[in-house]
Amino acid sequence: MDQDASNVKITPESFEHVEKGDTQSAEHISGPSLSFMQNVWIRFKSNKAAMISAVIIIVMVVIAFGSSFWINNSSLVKSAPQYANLPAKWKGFDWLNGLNGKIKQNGVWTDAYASVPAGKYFVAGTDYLGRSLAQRIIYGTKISLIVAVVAAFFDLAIGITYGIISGWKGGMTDNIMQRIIEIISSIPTLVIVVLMLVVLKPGITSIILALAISSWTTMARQIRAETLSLKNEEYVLAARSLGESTFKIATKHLIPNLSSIIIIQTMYTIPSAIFFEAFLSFIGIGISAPETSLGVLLNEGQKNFQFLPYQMWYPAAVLCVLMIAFNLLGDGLRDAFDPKGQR
Amino acid sequence: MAKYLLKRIFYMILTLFLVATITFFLMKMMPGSPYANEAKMTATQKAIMNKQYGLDKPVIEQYITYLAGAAHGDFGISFQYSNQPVSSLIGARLGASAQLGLQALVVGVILGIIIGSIAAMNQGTWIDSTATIVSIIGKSVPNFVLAVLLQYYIGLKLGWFPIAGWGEAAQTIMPTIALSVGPLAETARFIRTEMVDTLSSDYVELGKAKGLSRIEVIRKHTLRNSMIPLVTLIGPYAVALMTGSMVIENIFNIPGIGEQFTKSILTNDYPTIMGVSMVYCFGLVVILLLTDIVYSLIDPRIRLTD
Amino acid sequence: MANRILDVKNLKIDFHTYAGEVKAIRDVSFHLDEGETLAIVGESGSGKSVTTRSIIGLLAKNSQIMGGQILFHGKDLLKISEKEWQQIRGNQIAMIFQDPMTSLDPTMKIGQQIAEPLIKHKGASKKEAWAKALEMMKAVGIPNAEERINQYPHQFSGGMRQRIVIAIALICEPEILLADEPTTALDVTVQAEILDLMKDLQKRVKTSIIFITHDLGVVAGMADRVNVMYAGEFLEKGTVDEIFYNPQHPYTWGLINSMPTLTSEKLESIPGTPPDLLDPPKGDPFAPRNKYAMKIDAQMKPPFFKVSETHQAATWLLHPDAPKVTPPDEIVRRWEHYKELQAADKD
Repeated sequence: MDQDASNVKITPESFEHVEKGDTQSAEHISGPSLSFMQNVWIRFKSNKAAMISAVIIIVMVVIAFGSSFWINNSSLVKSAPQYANLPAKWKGFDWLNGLNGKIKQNGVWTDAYASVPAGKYFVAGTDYLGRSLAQRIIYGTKISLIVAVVAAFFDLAIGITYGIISGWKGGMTDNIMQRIIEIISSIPTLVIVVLMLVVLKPGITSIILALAISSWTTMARQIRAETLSLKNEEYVLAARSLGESTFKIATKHLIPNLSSIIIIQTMYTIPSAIFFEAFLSFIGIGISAPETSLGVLLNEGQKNFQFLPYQMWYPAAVLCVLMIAFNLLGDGLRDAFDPKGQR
Repeated sequence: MAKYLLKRIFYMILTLFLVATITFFLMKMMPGSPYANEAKMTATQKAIMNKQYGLDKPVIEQYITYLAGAAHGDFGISFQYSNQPVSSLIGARLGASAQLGLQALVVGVILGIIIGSIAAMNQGTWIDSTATIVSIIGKSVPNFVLAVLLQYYIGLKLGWFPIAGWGEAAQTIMPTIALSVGPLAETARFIRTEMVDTLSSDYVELGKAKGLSRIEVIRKHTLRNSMIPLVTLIGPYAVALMTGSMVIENIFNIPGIGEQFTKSILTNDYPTIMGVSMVYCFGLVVILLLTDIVYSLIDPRIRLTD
Repeated sequence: MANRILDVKNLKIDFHTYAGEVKAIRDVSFHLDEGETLAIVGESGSGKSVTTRSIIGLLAKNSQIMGGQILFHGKDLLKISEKEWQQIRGNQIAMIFQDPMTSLDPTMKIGQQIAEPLIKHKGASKKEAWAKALEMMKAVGIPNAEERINQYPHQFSGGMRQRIVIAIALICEPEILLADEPTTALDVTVQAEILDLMKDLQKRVKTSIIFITHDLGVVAGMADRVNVMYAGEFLEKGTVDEIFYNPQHPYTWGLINSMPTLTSEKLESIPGTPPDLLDPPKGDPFAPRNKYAMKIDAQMKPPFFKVSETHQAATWLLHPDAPKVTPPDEIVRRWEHYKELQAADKD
């Protein structure tokens, strides 16, 4: 029973009838109603890992592309053998082994900058040709990102178009298109990529093409499945019965609902592409010198790993951070768009 | 069921046929010569060599010969090792790759199931978060980076395992670890999601209402339901393992198909490239078919409806 | 003299949510006697499910018992350990859920699922348990039971699956069966069959049933007593005749009034929505939607006023100083009918 009730006295007025107001106020839902995207944003914001990842990616993109003005191919081609294989040295960090220009040789920390003029600092050391590793990493990240994003874009474009047509048309068209996907999916991506590279000769363009052509099937399948179910949704049927053109239906109804799949899938395609490019370049059949990418850097770094491990550590760290960030971002977006699977 | 099988086998053959055709014509278009010292050869020598390899016949005939050969596993002679048939090159190396791949798959999947289940049963706790982090790292760190790290720090510095080579059991450990991380991470994520799903299902509620303890419910109901869909991931894992093996075999000097593939790409040894491609393709197609069959057998909803 | 097997006293349950504390059950008391069927009626969100789940110990993790007792054979179920719960669930207290399509494990044979409680609680061997399971399948009316015992849930229709769920619940012959809207997800004709089945089995197994529903039609056929629930508390309790023919709380009037009859010209509904339990109202929770509300309804919660030995209603309208109001026509008609019933009884 209510504790407050004790100070309410029962008087004859208590039993007076109270006129009921209109029911609108009774059915009032308190709390603002939010649009779909607002809900998504709120859920996404609460996922700290995904937010941090998004920030990291933005920062890396800004650095990688913003540096284009002073780090470009010509600046990287210049080699300076007198500065070859120097470890990292940061101004004011003389006390920290690893950042003070010293390297462990035979168990003893020796100053590798002994023959280098004072005042010359390399944030991440240099490679075997004396080029700044930091600059090469930034440039390499840019290339890796370009490859991944462009490949993902083509993958997207092909996949979405294919998926929508297949799902919307249905019937025999859908059947044939699905059979084609089935056949392509039975071929390992590796084989497709390798064959294309062998034919097109390794390089940035051929890698982009190879990646795009080998991975659009996943997107196509998902888009098709969603299109099929959307096609039968009542609001689409309503739009059709009102005579809306197919194109308008596609843009007004389908794409917004497909947008979540598209965004999420793209977020996963990019790290996959980054990985593949790094993988191919690492083996030597992807991008190769004089071009630079994270994979190329890993390849070169591996050769010196025993004595100069930092040459592989730094690009590896950047690659891993990039991959982890994209994966977390993809997870965060997926959870934000479809919280049913969430805890 | 039989009808379904026949249909799948038909598509299998169709796929292999297409791949063989495409690779054949692609390679034919390629510049570059099969002969290492072409510039130094005289015309007569060239003519003799061409006849020996059947390269003097019209393209269509070469194509048919190739197809016929491929159906038997005969992919011609390697350009790189000019007296070795591609099939023997591949045959000699198949065992190593298969063993490595299988080991990595088994280790990855089993550990993945264990980690994923533990995470799901302790949802929301630090155990869950740790498992998720491990999973993300496993998925994001490229296996070749891990391989180099393992080789250097655990192999060289700590000396726990041999850093390269193949033949003894100890030599298989580090490559297996490096290659298994991918499937492990993916399986852990997958099982966790599946189990969290099943743990919140109505039939688990009913299980509890019957008086079953949490462990009993998990053991009798959720595990089986969560693991059945795992079979569908074996195909993609096979692809990942094929890809990964190229690099891992290189790093650890393992005489497998992946290493051979890399070498043949770098030396433009087209017959071998074609041969290995066909082998990978065949492998994947067979695995896809087998996993489909197994899945339809273990899920009663599929087995007993069509 | 009826044997009382369950006594719930002043139960209060809160849920911790990110928006605050939801006071889902706000002081609920009731009892259950041997062999009877008690129906708990109310809208979605009134707290019916939470109440029953507390009797079998299956509340959500973010719930907290804020007070009260649930006495079962003298033991307070709110104070027992999880291990003790595991011995009671499925054995002495059983539950069936609403959706038969998802209540069964899709990859386990039906026979095994029905046998499970028997194996767990009575130590039966697999053979014995399956034999009893077969008996239960026949008892719940599944044709061809010998063959079908080896089948899987997807091979059964919704109605059949619910029968299986009932078989599972009753195989250990529990004293209390909690039925949470067991027929809501079924077709109307199947509904009738399942209800008949339950009544029949109740007599055989001598189980007491707590039946949750929002459908008064179902209540009329099944229940001995009815408790009307709203916003986490009971507003009226009585026998099925008393509730249907002599309702006293305006909310009950609204419920009965909204049942379509052969002579209704227009479908009545109760306008408005139930209150937010994050911040429950002070007085009668139904007051904001109550056409007959008085000033005091918003100020102070009414106590239960006795209408008969078995009938109570928490409405200020029953206070001696309250004015007499005329309920809707349908209710007036029923009150007349009730007076006739009373007169007939006296003879």
